Amino acid sequence: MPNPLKLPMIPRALRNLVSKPATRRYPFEIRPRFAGARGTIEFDVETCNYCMLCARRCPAAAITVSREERTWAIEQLTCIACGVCVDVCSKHSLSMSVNSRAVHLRSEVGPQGQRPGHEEWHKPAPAATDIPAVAGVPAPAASQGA
Amino acid sequence: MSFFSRSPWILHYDGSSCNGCDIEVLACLTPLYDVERFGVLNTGNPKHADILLVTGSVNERNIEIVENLYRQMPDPKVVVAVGACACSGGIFARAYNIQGGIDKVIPVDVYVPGCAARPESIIDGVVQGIAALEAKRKKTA
Amino acid sequence: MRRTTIPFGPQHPVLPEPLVLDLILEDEKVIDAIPTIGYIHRGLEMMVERVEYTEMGFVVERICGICSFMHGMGYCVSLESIMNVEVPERAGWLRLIWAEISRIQSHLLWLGLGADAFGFENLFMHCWRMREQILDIFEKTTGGRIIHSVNRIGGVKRDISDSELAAILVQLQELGEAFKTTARVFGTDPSIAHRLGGVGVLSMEDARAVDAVGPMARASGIATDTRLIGANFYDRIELEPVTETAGDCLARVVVRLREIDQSIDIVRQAIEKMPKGEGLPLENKPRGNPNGEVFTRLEQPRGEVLYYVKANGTKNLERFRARTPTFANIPAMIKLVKGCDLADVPNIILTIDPCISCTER
Ligand code: SF4
Ligand code: SF4
Ligand code: SF4
Repeated sequence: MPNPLKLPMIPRALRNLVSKPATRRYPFEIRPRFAGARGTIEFDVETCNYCMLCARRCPAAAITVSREERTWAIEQLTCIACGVCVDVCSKHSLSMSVNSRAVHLRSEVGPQGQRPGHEEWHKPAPAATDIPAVAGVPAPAASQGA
Repeated sequence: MSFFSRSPWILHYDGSSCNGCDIEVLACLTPLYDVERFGVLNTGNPKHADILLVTGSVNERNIEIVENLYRQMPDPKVVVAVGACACSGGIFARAYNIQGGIDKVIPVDVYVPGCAARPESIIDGVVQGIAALEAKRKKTA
Repeated sequence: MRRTTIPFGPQHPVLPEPLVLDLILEDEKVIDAIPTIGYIHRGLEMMVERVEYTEMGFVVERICGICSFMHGMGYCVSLESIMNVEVPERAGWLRLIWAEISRIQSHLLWLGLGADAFGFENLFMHCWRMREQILDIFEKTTGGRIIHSVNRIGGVKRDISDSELAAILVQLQELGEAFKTTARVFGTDPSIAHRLGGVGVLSMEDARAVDAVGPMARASGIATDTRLIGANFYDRIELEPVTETAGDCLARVVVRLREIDQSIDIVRQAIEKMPKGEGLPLENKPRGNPNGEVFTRLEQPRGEVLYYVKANGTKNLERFRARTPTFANIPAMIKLVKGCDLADVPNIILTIDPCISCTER
C-alpha cells in the first residue's frame, strides 16, 4: 500500500479496528490445554512401592518418601514440572496432568508450619500375610494442604 | 467487567528469577491475556501500588530491596509470589546464594505455583490477590 | 560543572530485570556508568556439587527463561562430547528446529521490549501478540511455554510428527508474512528513526576492541556467527550472517528483524533435510559417569555462549561454567552509555538485549 504520509502503522491499525480482538477473556473463556502440556504431578498411592527413586532423582527435591512410615509427599509449590519423576517411576504411580496447579493462599499455612501446596499420602502396610491390596484396606483420602 | 469495586495497581519486582516468570507476568499485560481488563495497571512506583508481584526467590543481595519496596507500599497491601522460585525457592532452593521463598522476608498472601507459572495461573493469582486486598480493606476500615 | 550520580535500577520500569547502573552525569551527559551485580545471582554453577549431572540439565535450563532451550542444549551437547554419545540424527535436527524457533521467540520478545522502551507501546503489543503463537508451538511440541525440558543427555525427550512439522512451518511462514507489516513499521516509521538512528553508534573497530558478540557485533558490520562453525547440524544449513554497517541502535533493531526471517528459513531447510518417519530413535542413553573436560560454543539469540564442563568420573560434575553473551556485551554497553544523553540510556541498554539472569546466573 503506498504510504505517502510515512505513517506505516496506519494500515495495521485499520486492520485491527475491524478484526476481532486478540484477547482471550480468560476466566470466562478457557482454552483447553494442549495434550502433553506439563502441568501438575498426580500420584496414585495404590501402585507405589516406596522405592524412593523419584525422590532421589527429583532436581528440585520436591518429593519426600519415607519407606518406614509409608508416606509419599510432594511440595506442589517447589515442583518445577520437569517430568523426571514420571519417567523414572517403574510402577507408573506418577503421571503429569495438563492442568496447571492451583493457586494457594496464606490461610492454608498449616499449624505446624506446614506449607501450602504440601500433599501427602499414606498407605498402611499390607497385612503380614504379604498378600497385597486384597486385604481390603482402603487408602485414606489424600490430605490436601494442611 | 465490573465485579471488582476498585482498580488495584501492581508493582512487579524480579528477585533472583530466571526471567521465565517475569516474561509470563509481562505476557499477562499483552493482548492475549490483558489483565488490564480487571482494572489492574502495572506501575513502577511502589507508592502507587497495592499488589506486589514478586517473581524469583530472595538472595543475600536483594533482600533489602524486597523489604524496601514492601515497606514503601501504602496499606493495605498484598503480596503475590509468582512461580516456584518465589513460593519456595523451587529448583534453586539448594543454591548457596538463595535464601528461599519470598515468605522468608515479607508475608506472602497468594502463592502461584508453576515453573514457569502460566499466565492463566498468574491471572488467577492476581484475582485472588484482589480478593485478599478487599478483605484487608474491610478489616482496616 | 557539577556532577550527579543517578542510580538506574534495580527496579526500573524499562526492564523487568534488576540491572543496576550508577550513572555519573555532568548536566545531561553521561560521563561514566558503573554496573553493580549480584541482585539476581543464584550460585547456579556451584549447584553441580549438589545436583547429579543427569538432573543438572534442568538447572542449567533455568539460567534464563528466554533462551532456556539453548542453555539446556548447550549443557547436553557438552556432556555428550565428554561421554562420546552420538545424538540420533532426528534428535539433532529437532534440537536445531527448536533452537531456531526460540531465536524467533527471543527476538520478538526483545523487539517488543525495545518498542516499549522508546515509547511505542502499540508495537510492543503487536510483537508480543505474535510471540504468543510461537509459545503455542512450544507448548504443543515440548509441553512448556517457557521452560521446555525436552533436552536429555544423548538426545531429546519428545518427537514432533512429520505432519506437525509441516504445520509448524506453514504457521511460521504465515507469521513471517504477517510480521512484514510490523517490520516495516520498525524500518520506516519516522519517530523510530528519529529516536534510534545515529544513537549509540558502535564502530566496527570499537566492536572488535570490546569484543561484542551476536547481533551487537553484526550490527557494526562484523560477520560473526557461531552457527558457522557447523556443529549441531548447522553445517548442513545454508546461512549467511545478517550484518548491518551503521552500528547504531536502529541497525541493531534491523539485524534482529532480519534474523527472524533468516530463522524461519533455517527451520524450512531443516524440515526438508531431516530424516522423516515415525519412531526414529531420539535418545542414546549415556552409560556410566562422565570424565573429562570440554568447551562448547553455541549461538544464542544474544550472541555466542560458552560452556565449560569438567567432570571427574563421579555423579557430580567438578566444575561448570557458562559465559553468556550479555556478559560479553556489557563492556560495549558501558562504552556506548558514556557520552550519551540521559534520555537515551534506556534505549542503548535495551539494544544490547541484556539478559541479567544469564549474566549473573
Ligand atoms: S516433576 Fe520434576 S520437580 Fe516435580 S516432583 Fe517430579 S521430578 Fe520433582
Ligand atoms: S512414586 Fe514410583 S518412583 Fe516414587 S517411590 Fe513410588 S514407586 Fe518409587
Ligand atoms: S519458577 Fe521457574 S521459570 Fe519462574 S523464575 Fe523460577 S526457575 Fe524461572
